[in-house]
Amino acid sequence: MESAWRRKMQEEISPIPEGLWEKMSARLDAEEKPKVFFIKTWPWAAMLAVALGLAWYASDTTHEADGNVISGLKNLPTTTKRAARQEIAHVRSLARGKSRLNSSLKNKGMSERALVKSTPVETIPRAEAMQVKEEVAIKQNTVLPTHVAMEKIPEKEEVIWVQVDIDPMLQVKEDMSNMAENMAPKKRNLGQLLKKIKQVIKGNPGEWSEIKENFHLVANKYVQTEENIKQKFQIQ
Amino acid sequence: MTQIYTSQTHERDLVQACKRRDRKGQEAVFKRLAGKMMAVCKRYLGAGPLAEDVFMEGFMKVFTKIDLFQEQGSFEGWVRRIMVNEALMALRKEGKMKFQETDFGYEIGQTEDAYVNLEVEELNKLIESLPLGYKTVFNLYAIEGYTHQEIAEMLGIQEGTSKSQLSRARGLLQQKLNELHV
Repeated sequence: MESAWRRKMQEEISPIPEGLWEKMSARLDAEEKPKVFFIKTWPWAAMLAVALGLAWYASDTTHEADGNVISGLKNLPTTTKRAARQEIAHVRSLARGKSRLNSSLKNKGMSERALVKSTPVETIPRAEAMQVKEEVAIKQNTVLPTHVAMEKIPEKEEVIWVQVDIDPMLQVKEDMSNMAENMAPKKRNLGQLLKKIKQVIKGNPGEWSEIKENFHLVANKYVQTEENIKQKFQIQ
Repeated sequence: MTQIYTSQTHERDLVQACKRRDRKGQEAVFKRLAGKMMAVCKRYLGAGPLAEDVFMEGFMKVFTKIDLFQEQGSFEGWVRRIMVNEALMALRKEGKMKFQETDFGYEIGQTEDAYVNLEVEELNKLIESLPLGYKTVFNLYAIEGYTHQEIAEMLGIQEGTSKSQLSRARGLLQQKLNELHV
Protein backbone atom coordinates (compact mmCIF):
# COMPACT_ATOMS: atom_id res chain seq x y z
CA MET A 1 0.00 0.00 0.00
CA GLU A 2 2.82 2.42 0.96
CA SER A 3 4.72 1.85 -2.28
CA ALA A 4 1.52 2.57 -4.19
CA TRP A 5 1.08 5.75 -2.18
CA ARG A 6 4.73 6.66 -2.79
CA ARG A 7 4.30 6.44 -6.55
CA LYS A 8 1.22 8.58 -6.45
CA MET A 9 2.62 11.16 -4.04
CA GLN A 10 5.89 11.55 -5.89
CA GLU A 11 4.03 12.40 -9.09
CA GLU A 12 1.80 14.89 -7.35
CA ILE A 13 1.90 18.39 -8.78
CA SER A 14 0.80 21.44 -6.82
CA PRO A 15 -0.35 24.61 -8.51
CA ILE A 16 2.26 27.38 -8.58
CA PRO A 17 1.23 30.95 -7.80
CA GLU A 18 1.65 33.50 -10.57
CA GLY A 19 4.88 35.45 -10.83
CA LEU A 20 6.95 33.05 -8.79
CA TRP A 21 9.55 32.63 -11.54
CA GLU A 22 9.87 36.44 -11.89
CA LYS A 23 10.60 36.65 -8.18
CA MET A 24 13.13 33.87 -8.49
CA SER A 25 14.75 35.53 -11.49
CA ALA A 26 15.04 38.83 -9.62
CA ARG A 27 16.65 37.07 -6.67
CA LEU A 28 19.09 35.32 -8.97
CA ASP A 29 19.98 38.66 -10.56
CA ALA A 30 20.57 40.17 -7.15
CA GLU A 31 22.68 37.18 -6.18
CA GLU A 32 24.88 37.45 -9.25
CA LYS A 33 25.18 41.25 -9.26
CA PRO A 34 27.93 41.64 -6.66
CA LYS A 35 30.20 39.32 -8.62
CA VAL A 36 29.63 41.28 -11.84
CA PHE A 37 30.25 44.52 -9.98
CA PHE A 38 33.47 43.15 -8.59
CA ILE A 39 34.62 41.97 -12.01
CA LYS A 40 33.83 45.35 -13.51
CA THR A 41 35.39 47.35 -10.73
CA TRP A 42 38.58 45.44 -10.05
CA PRO A 43 40.47 46.97 -13.00
CA TRP A 44 39.56 50.39 -11.63
CA ALA A 45 40.77 49.35 -8.21
CA ALA A 46 44.01 48.13 -9.76
CA MET A 47 44.46 51.42 -11.61
CA LEU A 48 43.82 53.36 -8.42
CA ALA A 49 46.38 51.25 -6.60
CA VAL A 50 48.95 51.90 -9.34
CA ALA A 51 48.21 55.65 -9.23
CA LEU A 52 48.67 55.67 -5.45
CA GLY A 53 51.91 53.78 -5.83
CA LEU A 54 53.19 56.29 -8.40
CA ALA A 55 52.19 59.19 -6.16
CA TRP A 56 54.05 57.61 -3.28
CA TYR A 57 57.10 57.07 -5.48
CA ALA A 58 56.96 60.69 -6.65
CA SER A 59 56.79 61.97 -3.07
CA ASP A 60 59.73 59.75 -2.23
CA THR A 61 61.80 61.24 -5.07
CA THR A 62 60.88 64.75 -3.82
CA HIS A 63 62.33 63.78 -0.46
CA GLU A 64 65.44 62.63 -2.22
CA ALA A 65 65.64 66.02 -3.96
CA ASP A 66 65.37 67.72 -0.56
CA GLY A 67 68.23 65.57 0.64
CA ASN A 68 70.26 66.67 -2.36
CA VAL A 69 69.63 70.34 -1.51
CA ILE A 70 70.80 69.81 2.05
CA SER A 71 73.87 67.97 0.91
CA GLY A 72 74.46 70.83 -1.56
CA LEU A 73 74.34 73.24 1.35
CA LYS A 74 77.01 71.26 3.11
CA ASN A 75 79.15 71.37 -0.01
CA LEU A 76 78.95 75.14 -0.42
CA PRO A 77 82.15 76.95 -1.40
CA THR A 78 84.22 78.24 1.50
CA THR A 79 83.88 81.89 0.45
CA THR A 80 80.10 81.69 0.60
CA LYS A 81 80.29 80.05 4.02
CA ARG A 82 82.58 82.78 5.29
CA ALA A 83 80.28 85.49 3.99
CA ALA A 84 77.34 83.83 5.66
CA ARG A 85 79.20 83.58 8.97
CA GLN A 86 80.16 87.25 8.80
CA GLU A 87 76.60 88.28 8.15
CA ILE A 88 75.36 86.19 11.08
CA ALA A 89 78.02 87.66 13.38
CA HIS A 90 77.03 91.17 12.32
CA VAL A 91 73.38 90.52 13.05
CA ARG A 92 74.24 89.01 16.42
CA SER A 93 76.36 92.01 17.40
CA LEU A 94 73.54 94.35 16.49
CA ALA A 95 71.12 92.35 18.58
CA ARG A 96 73.59 92.29 21.50
CA GLY A 97 73.97 96.06 21.31
CA LYS A 98 70.25 96.48 21.39
CA SER A 99 69.87 94.30 24.49
CA ARG A 100 72.69 96.18 26.20
CA LEU A 101 70.95 99.46 25.49
CA ASN A 102 67.73 98.15 26.95
CA SER A 103 69.40 96.89 30.11
CA SER A 104 71.24 100.17 30.56
CA LEU A 105 68.00 102.08 30.27
CA LYS A 106 66.39 99.85 32.86
CA ASN A 107 69.23 100.21 35.32
CA LYS A 108 69.49 103.93 34.76
CA GLY A 109 68.67 104.88 38.37
CA MET A 110 71.18 102.50 39.88
CA SER A 111 73.95 103.51 37.53
CA GLU A 112 73.26 107.18 38.19
CA ARG A 113 73.55 106.67 41.95
CA ALA A 114 76.80 104.81 41.54
CA LEU A 115 78.10 107.54 39.29
CA VAL A 116 77.24 110.18 41.84
CA LYS A 117 79.05 108.35 44.60
CA SER A 118 82.16 107.46 42.66
CA THR A 119 82.66 110.56 40.53
CA PRO A 120 82.65 114.20 41.53
CA VAL A 121 80.12 116.42 39.88
CA GLU A 122 82.79 118.51 38.15
CA THR A 123 84.39 115.48 36.46
CA ILE A 124 81.24 114.43 34.64
CA PRO A 125 81.93 115.24 31.00
CA ARG A 126 79.51 117.44 29.26
CA ALA A 127 77.75 115.00 27.13
CA GLU A 128 75.89 116.39 24.32
CA ALA A 129 72.31 115.41 23.72
CA MET A 130 72.57 112.04 22.27
CA GLN A 131 70.29 110.98 19.54
CA VAL A 132 70.19 107.26 19.28
CA LYS A 133 68.58 106.08 16.25
CA GLU A 134 69.28 102.51 15.74
CA GLU A 135 68.13 100.53 12.87
CA VAL A 136 68.57 96.87 13.11
CA ALA A 137 67.72 95.21 9.94
CA ILE A 138 68.08 91.52 10.08
CA LYS A 139 68.19 90.19 6.64
CA GLN A 140 69.00 86.61 7.23
CA ASN A 141 68.97 85.49 3.65
CA THR A 142 70.84 88.36 2.06
CA VAL A 143 74.05 86.48 1.57
CA LEU A 144 72.98 82.91 1.44
CA PRO A 145 71.97 81.49 -1.91
CA THR A 146 68.27 81.27 -2.59
CA HIS A 147 67.93 77.50 -2.25
CA VAL A 148 69.99 77.55 0.95
CA ALA A 149 67.82 80.27 2.37
CA MET A 150 64.70 78.28 1.61
CA GLU A 151 66.02 75.26 3.39
CA LYS A 152 67.81 76.77 6.36
CA ILE A 153 65.86 79.91 7.18
CA PRO A 154 62.24 79.54 6.33
CA GLU A 155 61.17 82.71 8.19
CA LYS A 156 60.32 85.86 6.31
CA GLU A 157 62.56 88.90 6.29
CA GLU A 158 62.32 90.48 9.72
CA VAL A 159 62.99 94.18 10.13
CA ILE A 160 63.23 95.61 13.64
CA TRP A 161 63.22 99.35 14.11
CA VAL A 162 64.35 100.71 17.46
CA GLN A 163 64.26 104.47 17.90
CA VAL A 164 65.42 105.93 21.21
CA ASP A 165 65.11 109.71 21.45
CA ILE A 166 66.32 110.61 24.93
CA ASP A 167 69.02 112.69 26.55
CA PRO A 168 70.14 110.50 29.43
CA MET A 169 73.22 112.48 30.35
CA LEU A 170 71.34 115.73 30.66
CA GLN A 171 68.89 114.10 33.01
CA VAL A 172 71.69 112.60 35.02
CA LYS A 173 73.33 116.02 35.31
CA GLU A 174 70.13 117.59 36.70
CA ASP A 175 69.61 114.77 39.16
CA MET A 176 73.15 114.91 40.35
CA SER A 177 73.08 118.64 40.97
CA ASN A 178 69.93 118.22 43.06
CA MET A 179 71.34 115.35 44.98
CA ALA A 180 74.64 117.12 45.57
CA GLU A 181 72.75 120.03 47.08
CA ASN A 182 70.82 117.70 49.33
CA MET A 183 73.77 115.58 50.27
CA ALA A 184 75.90 118.37 51.71
CA PRO A 185 73.53 119.44 54.52
CA LYS A 186 72.61 115.85 55.05
CA LYS A 187 76.24 114.97 55.60
CA ARG A 188 76.70 118.00 57.76
CA ASN A 189 73.68 117.23 59.93
CA LEU A 190 74.56 113.59 60.16
CA GLY A 191 78.17 114.39 61.03
CA GLN A 192 77.14 116.76 63.77
CA LEU A 193 74.71 114.27 65.15
CA LEU A 194 77.33 111.50 65.20
CA LYS A 195 79.83 113.86 66.80
CA LYS A 196 77.41 114.73 69.57
CA ILE A 197 76.55 111.09 70.18
CA LYS A 198 80.24 110.23 70.44
CA GLN A 199 80.73 112.97 73.00
CA VAL A 200 77.86 111.64 75.06
CA ILE A 201 79.37 108.16 74.93
CA LYS A 202 82.77 109.51 76.02
CA GLY A 203 81.09 111.00 79.08
CA ASN A 204 80.83 114.58 77.90
CA PRO A 205 77.16 115.36 78.12
CA GLY A 206 75.93 118.00 75.66
CA GLU A 207 72.70 119.75 75.01
CA TRP A 208 69.91 117.24 74.56
CA SER A 209 67.85 119.75 72.61
CA GLU A 210 70.66 120.11 70.01
CA ILE A 211 70.99 116.36 69.63
CA LYS A 212 67.25 116.10 69.25
CA GLU A 213 67.22 118.89 66.66
CA ASN A 214 70.04 117.27 64.67
CA PHE A 215 68.26 113.98 64.83
CA HIS A 216 65.09 115.55 63.42
CA LEU A 217 67.04 117.29 60.67
CA VAL A 218 68.72 114.07 59.62
CA ALA A 219 65.37 112.24 59.62
CA ASN A 220 63.67 114.99 57.62
CA LYS A 221 66.45 114.99 55.05
CA TYR A 222 66.24 111.30 54.76
CA VAL A 223 62.51 111.41 54.17
CA GLN A 224 62.85 114.27 51.67
CA THR A 225 65.55 112.49 49.72
CA GLU A 226 63.53 109.34 49.62
CA GLU A 227 60.52 111.19 48.25
CA ASN A 228 62.65 112.91 45.64
CA ILE A 229 64.05 109.63 44.45
CA LYS A 230 60.59 108.15 44.33
CA GLN A 231 59.30 111.04 42.27
CA LYS A 232 62.25 110.89 39.90
CA PHE A 233 61.96 107.25 39.14
CA GLN A 234 58.25 107.01 39.65
CA ILE A 235 58.58 104.29 42.22
CA GLN A 236 55.30 103.44 43.88
CA MET B 1 22.93 32.25 -29.89
CA THR B 2 19.98 31.78 -27.55
CA GLN B 3 19.00 28.14 -26.99
CA ILE B 4 15.33 27.24 -26.72
CA TYR B 5 14.36 24.78 -24.01
CA THR B 6 11.14 22.82 -24.24
CA SER B 7 9.47 20.14 -22.13
CA GLN B 8 11.23 17.63 -24.36
CA THR B 9 14.71 18.94 -23.62
CA HIS B 10 16.85 16.36 -21.89
CA GLU B 11 17.48 16.77 -18.18
CA ARG B 12 21.26 16.70 -18.76
CA ASP B 13 21.08 19.68 -21.14
CA LEU B 14 19.05 21.62 -18.64
CA VAL B 15 21.59 20.91 -15.91
CA GLN B 16 24.39 22.13 -18.20
CA ALA B 17 22.41 25.27 -18.94
CA CYS B 18 21.93 25.86 -15.22
CA LYS B 19 25.64 25.39 -14.63
CA ARG B 20 26.30 28.09 -17.26
CA ARG B 21 23.89 30.34 -15.33
CA ASP B 22 21.71 30.41 -18.45
CA ARG B 23 18.54 32.09 -17.29
CA LYS B 24 16.38 30.38 -19.92
CA GLY B 25 17.69 27.00 -18.86
CA GLN B 26 17.00 27.84 -15.23
CA GLU B 27 13.49 28.89 -16.15
CA ALA B 28 12.93 25.63 -17.96
CA VAL B 29 14.10 23.64 -14.92
CA PHE B 30 11.93 25.74 -12.65
CA LYS B 31 8.84 25.20 -14.78
CA ARG B 32 9.48 21.49 -15.08
CA LEU B 33 10.00 20.80 -11.38
CA ALA B 34 8.13 23.61 -9.62
CA GLY B 35 4.78 21.78 -9.25
CA LYS B 36 6.32 18.62 -7.80
CA MET B 37 8.60 20.55 -5.43
CA MET B 38 5.76 22.73 -4.23
CA ALA B 39 3.86 19.50 -3.41
CA VAL B 40 6.83 18.29 -1.38
CA CYS B 41 6.99 21.55 0.57
CA LYS B 42 3.27 21.54 1.24
CA ARG B 43 3.39 17.92 2.41
CA TYR B 44 5.86 18.83 5.14
CA LEU B 45 4.75 22.35 5.97
CA GLY B 46 1.12 22.51 4.93
CA ALA B 47 -0.38 24.95 2.46
CA GLY B 48 0.73 28.39 3.44
CA PRO B 49 3.33 31.12 3.06
CA LEU B 50 6.00 29.09 4.86
CA ALA B 51 5.80 26.36 2.20
CA GLU B 52 6.19 29.01 -0.50
CA ASP B 53 9.18 30.59 1.22
CA VAL B 54 10.86 27.21 1.61
CA PHE B 55 10.11 26.44 -2.03
CA MET B 56 11.86 29.67 -3.11
CA GLU B 57 14.82 29.09 -0.83
CA GLY B 58 15.11 25.53 -2.11
CA PHE B 59 15.22 26.62 -5.73
CA MET B 60 17.72 29.35 -4.93
CA LYS B 61 19.95 26.70 -3.45
CA VAL B 62 19.44 24.48 -6.48
CA PHE B 63 20.56 27.23 -8.88
CA THR B 64 23.44 28.53 -6.77
CA LYS B 65 24.80 25.09 -5.79
CA ILE B 66 24.21 23.41 -9.14
CA ASP B 67 27.97 22.92 -9.58
CA LEU B 68 27.87 20.42 -6.68
CA PHE B 69 25.54 18.14 -8.63
CA GLN B 70 27.70 15.28 -9.92
CA GLU B 71 25.20 14.17 -12.62
CA GLN B 72 25.45 10.57 -11.43
CA GLY B 73 21.92 10.22 -10.06
CA SER B 74 18.58 11.76 -10.88
CA PHE B 75 18.55 15.52 -11.02
CA GLU B 76 14.95 15.56 -9.84
CA GLY B 77 15.93 13.40 -6.88
CA TRP B 78 18.74 15.83 -6.03
CA VAL B 79 16.34 18.78 -6.17
CA ARG B 80 13.76 16.91 -4.09
CA ARG B 81 16.40 16.15 -1.48
CA ILE B 82 17.27 19.82 -1.24
CA MET B 83 13.60 20.71 -0.82
CA VAL B 84 13.11 18.14 1.93
CA ASN B 85 16.18 19.40 3.78
CA GLU B 86 14.97 22.98 3.48
CA ALA B 87 11.55 21.97 4.79
CA LEU B 88 13.08 20.18 7.77
CA MET B 89 15.30 23.17 8.52
CA ALA B 90 12.25 25.41 8.45
CA LEU B 91 10.43 23.09 10.87
CA ARG B 92 13.46 23.12 13.16
CA LYS B 93 13.58 26.90 13.06
CA GLU B 94 9.91 27.08 13.90
CA GLY B 95 10.55 24.86 16.91
CA LYS B 96 7.94 22.38 15.81
CA MET B 97 10.18 19.34 15.63
CA LYS B 98 9.27 17.53 18.84
CA PHE B 99 9.23 13.78 19.02
CA GLN B 100 7.83 11.75 21.85
CA GLU B 101 9.47 8.44 22.60
CA THR B 102 7.00 5.59 22.25
CA ASP B 103 7.86 2.01 23.09
CA PHE B 104 4.83 0.50 21.52
CA GLY B 105 3.87 0.21 17.93
CA TYR B 106 0.91 -0.56 15.78
CA GLU B 107 0.83 -3.41 13.39
CA ILE B 108 -0.81 -2.50 10.12
CA GLY B 109 -3.59 -4.86 9.42
CA GLN B 110 -4.47 -6.34 6.09
CA THR B 111 -4.54 -3.73 3.40
CA GLU B 112 -7.50 -3.37 1.14
CA ASP B 113 -7.46 -2.39 -2.50
CA ALA B 114 -9.75 0.47 -1.68
CA TYR B 115 -6.99 2.10 0.42
CA VAL B 116 -4.52 1.68 -2.41
CA ASN B 117 -6.89 3.34 -4.83
CA LEU B 118 -7.29 6.42 -2.68
CA GLU B 119 -6.86 9.64 -4.59
CA VAL B 120 -3.90 11.86 -3.89
CA GLU B 121 -6.10 14.54 -2.33
CA GLU B 122 -7.53 12.02 0.12
CA LEU B 123 -4.08 10.71 0.91
CA ASN B 124 -2.83 14.21 1.54
CA LYS B 125 -5.75 14.89 3.86
CA LEU B 126 -5.01 11.73 5.79
CA ILE B 127 -1.31 12.50 6.12
CA GLU B 128 -2.02 16.14 6.95
CA SER B 129 -4.25 15.02 9.84
CA LEU B 130 -1.32 13.27 11.54
CA PRO B 131 0.65 14.93 14.33
CA LEU B 132 3.74 16.72 13.02
CA GLY B 133 6.31 14.23 14.26
CA TYR B 134 4.41 11.22 12.85
CA LYS B 135 3.71 13.04 9.61
CA THR B 136 7.35 13.99 9.10
CA VAL B 137 8.70 10.53 9.72
CA PHE B 138 5.94 8.95 7.60
CA ASN B 139 6.66 11.34 4.72
CA LEU B 140 10.40 10.70 4.93
CA TYR B 141 10.08 6.93 5.16
CA ALA B 142 6.98 6.02 3.19
CA ILE B 143 6.91 8.75 0.53
CA GLU B 144 10.56 9.81 0.06
CA GLY B 145 12.06 6.41 0.74
CA TYR B 146 14.67 7.26 3.37
CA THR B 147 15.84 4.57 5.76
CA HIS B 148 15.39 4.91 9.54
CA GLN B 149 19.11 5.54 9.90
CA GLU B 150 18.96 8.41 7.42
CA ILE B 151 15.83 9.81 9.07
CA ALA B 152 17.51 9.64 12.48
CA GLU B 153 20.48 11.60 11.13
CA MET B 154 18.31 14.15 9.35
CA LEU B 155 16.12 14.83 12.35
CA GLY B 156 18.74 14.35 15.04
CA ILE B 157 16.83 11.60 16.78
CA GLN B 158 17.39 7.99 17.70
CA GLU B 159 16.73 5.37 15.06
CA GLY B 160 14.29 3.71 17.44
CA THR B 161 12.41 6.95 17.78
CA SER B 162 12.05 7.12 14.02
CA LYS B 163 10.69 3.57 13.97
CA SER B 164 8.22 4.16 16.77
CA GLN B 165 7.04 7.41 15.18
CA LEU B 166 6.43 5.59 11.91
CA SER B 167 4.58 2.83 13.73
CA ARG B 168 2.34 5.33 15.47
CA ALA B 169 1.72 7.13 12.18
CA ARG B 170 0.72 3.90 10.50
CA GLY B 171 -1.63 3.01 13.34
CA LEU B 172 -3.33 6.36 13.17
CA LEU B 173 -3.67 6.16 9.39
CA GLN B 174 -5.22 2.69 9.70
CA GLN B 175 -7.65 4.01 12.21
CA LYS B 176 -8.60 6.94 9.97
CA LEU B 177 -8.97 4.70 6.91
CA ASN B 178 -11.28 2.45 8.86
CA GLU B 179 -13.33 5.43 9.88
CA LEU B 180 -13.59 6.50 6.24
CA HIS B 181 -15.08 3.19 5.19
CA VAL B 182 -17.43 2.64 8.07
